[in-house]
Amino acid sequence: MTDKELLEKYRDPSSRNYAFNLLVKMYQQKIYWHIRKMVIDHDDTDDLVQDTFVKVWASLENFRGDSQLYTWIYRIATNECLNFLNKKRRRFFLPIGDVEGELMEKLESNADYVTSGNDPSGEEVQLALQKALLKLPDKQRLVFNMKYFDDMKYEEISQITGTSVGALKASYHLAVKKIEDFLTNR
Amino acid sequence: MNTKPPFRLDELDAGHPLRQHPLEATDRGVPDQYFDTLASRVQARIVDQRKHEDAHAGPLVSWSWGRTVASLVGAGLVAVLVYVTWPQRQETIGRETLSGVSDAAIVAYLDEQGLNPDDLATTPAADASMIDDSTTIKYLDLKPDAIRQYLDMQNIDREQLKSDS
Repeated sequence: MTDKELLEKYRDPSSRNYAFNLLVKMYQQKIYWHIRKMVIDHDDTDDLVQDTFVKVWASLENFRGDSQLYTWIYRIATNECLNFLNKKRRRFFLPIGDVEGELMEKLESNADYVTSGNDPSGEEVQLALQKALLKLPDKQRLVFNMKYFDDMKYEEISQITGTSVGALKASYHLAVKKIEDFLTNR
Repeated sequence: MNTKPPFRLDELDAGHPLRQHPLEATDRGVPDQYFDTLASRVQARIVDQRKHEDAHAGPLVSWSWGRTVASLVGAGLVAVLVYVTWPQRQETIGRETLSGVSDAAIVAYLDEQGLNPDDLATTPAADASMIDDSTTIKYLDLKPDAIRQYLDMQNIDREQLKSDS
């Protein structure tokens, strides 16, 4: 079903719930992993995913179709994510390193993949990569995740983050350099 | 010297394990049936939110006897506190107070202070009538010679005085 068809169904009160249900089913996994890669913890992710879709429900009526529906939903999810991480720092007056440490603990508590694989050295590199990622500023980590893991185009990332393509390229290049240095010198 | 070859992320193939986020690759921490039930949980939350909004759609504060009585008691307490703590105004000495003092006592007091009762009696009338300098000079009953003499004493040039006026 195209975005246009979905929106038409949503605007019809008789099929509104059905259309919204379809929309959640279409995007839930992408949005979940987009958020989970940033906040690591499943429960935090679940709250943010639900908040995102509640906001989508509330604002979908006013969606004008200037951008693709999925980039618009990604943008809402991204804002929820960044606000969550910022609030966390403000609420506990935590310096950046402490939030990074907390995310690292959550990552390690999820990380039995570190020792359970057939290639322990590969898993070790994987954990080192995740540790290097958590050292990046939130927005740079976000850009890295979308480009490196999700293979999204810079133009799409630009629509989601509201950052120019040039700035995104520079940010991604810098993130890759930092991570490669970390992995090489660990 | 570092002998390790530099790590190149962008040279890894799309299918390389390091190209996949480990949590996503293993679905680590995602409860069973999570994605099957997510849409219905979101819908339920939206319904709850609507009910909550509808329940609070009325006026923020409704009328009640308890609230009214509490407000009146509060206002009464404030009024009593204001009445009790309001500073007393210092009144001027009234005629009744002064009328209790005998004339002889007043004259004795003025005499003690070196004041002439006759001067005191005429001073207010004289002050009221001497509104400006010309009136004052009229009451002084000065002769022109006395004025000229005074000006000479003060070294004031009469011609200059005329041209100024």
